[in-house]
Amino acid sequence: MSHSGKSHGPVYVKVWIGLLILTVTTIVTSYYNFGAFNILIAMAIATVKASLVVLFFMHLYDDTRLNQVVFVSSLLCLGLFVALTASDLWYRRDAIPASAVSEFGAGIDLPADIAQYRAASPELLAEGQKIYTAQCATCHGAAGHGDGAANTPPPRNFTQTDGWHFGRTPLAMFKTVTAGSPGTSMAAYQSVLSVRERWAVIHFIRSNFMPTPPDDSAEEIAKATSGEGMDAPKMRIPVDMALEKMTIASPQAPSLELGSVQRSTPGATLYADHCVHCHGPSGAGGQKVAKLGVAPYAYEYVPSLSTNSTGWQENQTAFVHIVSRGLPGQAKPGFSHFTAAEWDALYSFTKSLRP
Amino acid sequence: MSHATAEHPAHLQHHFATSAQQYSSAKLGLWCFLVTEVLLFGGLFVAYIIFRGLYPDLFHEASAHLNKVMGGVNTVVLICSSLTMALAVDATKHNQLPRAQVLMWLTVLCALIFMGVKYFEYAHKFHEGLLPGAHFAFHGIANSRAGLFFSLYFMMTGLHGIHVLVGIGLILWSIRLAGQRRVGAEYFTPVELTGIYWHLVDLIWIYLFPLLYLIG
Repeated sequence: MSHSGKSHGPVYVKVWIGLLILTVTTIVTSYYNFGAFNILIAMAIATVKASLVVLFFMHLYDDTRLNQVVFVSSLLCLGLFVALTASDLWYRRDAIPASAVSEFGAGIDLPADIAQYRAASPELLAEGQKIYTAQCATCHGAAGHGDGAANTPPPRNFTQTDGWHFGRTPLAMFKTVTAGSPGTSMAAYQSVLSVRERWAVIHFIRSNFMPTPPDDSAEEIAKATSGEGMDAPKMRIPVDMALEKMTIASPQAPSLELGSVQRSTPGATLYADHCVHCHGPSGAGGQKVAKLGVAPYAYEYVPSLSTNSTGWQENQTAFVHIVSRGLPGQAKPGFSHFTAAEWDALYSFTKSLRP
Repeated sequence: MSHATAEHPAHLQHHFATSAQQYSSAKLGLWCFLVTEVLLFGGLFVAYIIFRGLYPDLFHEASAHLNKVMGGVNTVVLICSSLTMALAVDATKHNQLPRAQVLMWLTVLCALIFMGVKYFEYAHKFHEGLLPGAHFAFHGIANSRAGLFFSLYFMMTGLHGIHVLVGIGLILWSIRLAGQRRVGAEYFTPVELTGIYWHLVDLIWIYLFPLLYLIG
C-alpha cells in the first residue's frame, strides 16, 4: 500500500510548537492558585495536548472509524472506572439512619440490672464463657492476651493492667462492651448482647484473665443505679487537652476563636468545655480531626451543625443519643456523663447556634 | 517469505488477502493494544485520584519534593521525540529511508536523554531516602503517610520508564528494517505502528507531569 501525497511535515511542526506552548502554559499556571480550579485547568491543558498527539501525531483524525471508536471506548471505560470508584469512596459516610435513633434508653442502659448482675454467679460465668468464645475470642484471643486479630490499635490484653482506656472496674468494662471504643475495632455490643449477657462475659473476663480486677467505688455504684447516668470513666488526659490534640489546624476551617464562646450559661460552659474544639464557636465545623487510635493518621472534616439529617434539632432524644454514644469510626467521641439538667442546657445552647 | 511477485509482495503474509487488509488489521491490532495500555495506566491513575482525594495536603507537600525542572525538561524532550518520530514515519512513507533513519536515531537520542534525566532524579531520591513502599525513609514531610505519594510516583514513572525502554528497542528495530530496505513507501507498517506506540508513551507522560510534578 503506497502512500502518495504531500508530506505531513508542516502539520507535525505546528503541532509540536503547540505542544511546547501548552507545556509552558501548564508550568506557568501551576504557580498561580485558582483554588479548586487548579486541577481542572491542569487537566484541561493536558487533555488539549493529548488530543493534539492522538489526532495528528497518531493520525486518528484521518483513520478509520473503527479505530477511532476503539480508542475512544478506552477513554469511556477509564471514565467509568474513575467515576464508580470515586462515587463509592466519597459517598460512603451514611447519615445515622432514623431507625437507629428510635430506641433510646437513658444514654447507656443500666440501672436495675446493675444491682442484679454486679455479683458473679456460676451460671453467669458459664454463660460468659460461651459468649466470650463466640464473640470476643477472635480478637481478644482465647486466653485474653489480645492476640487474636492484628487490629490497629491492637485488642486489649486482659491479663495486663496497663492500656485500659476506660478503666478496669466492672461498670467501666460494662460501658466499654456496651458502647464500644470509638475509632477502634471494638464495636458496641448493646444491640448484640443483652444486659445480662454483657455482665456474664465481663464476669468471665474478670475471673479468668484479670489477675487483680478492681471493683467499682460506692459512688460509682450509687450513681449508676440511681438512674442518673453512669459517671464518665476516668479520662487519662483532660478532655480539652485531648480535643486540642485531635484537631488539626486546617486552611479551610475558619480560625477558631475559642474565647468567643462566652461561658455565660451552663449550656455554653458545657459546649466550651467539650464541643468547641471540633464544632467551632458557631457550630460551623470544618475542623480537621484526627481519628485517634487509627495509625497512621486518617482524618475527617467536622460537618456543620446545621446538618439535621438525624432530626436532632427537633428531637432531644436523638441529640442525647448522638452525643452520648459518639459516632464510632467517625472520630466523634461519646460523652455520657451529663446529668439530665446538663443535657437540657447543652441541648438548648447547641440548638441556639447559627452556623 | 522472502520471494516477491507482482501480485504477492514480500511483506504480505499468507493469511491476508491483500496488503491493504494486512495493513488495516495491523493498525486495528495496535489500537486494541493501546486500549489495554490506557487501562493499565488508568488503574494507577485511579489509585492516584483516590489517594489524592483522601489526602490532598499530603500530595501537595510531597509533590514539592519532586524536581519540576527535571520534569519539565523530560516533558519537552519527549515532545521533541514525538516530532522526530512522526517525521521519521512520514519519511519512510515517502521512501526517504536515510532521512528516516536519522530522524529515528534522534528519537532514540531523546529517549536516552529522558532516561538519563530520570536516572538522576531517581538517584537523588534514593539518596534522600525517598524510596517506594516499605523502604521509605525520609523524615522531611510532616505526615506519616508520605510514603504513599512516593509509592505512586515510583510506580507510575517506573512503569512509564519501562515503556520508554521498550520503545527504544522498537525504534532500534525499525532503524534496522530501514537500513535493510525492508520497509519503504510500499510497506511501512512496522515503522508506523512503532511511531503510534511511541506517541502513546508521550501521551501518558503528558498526564503524569502535571499530576505528579505540578500540584501547585
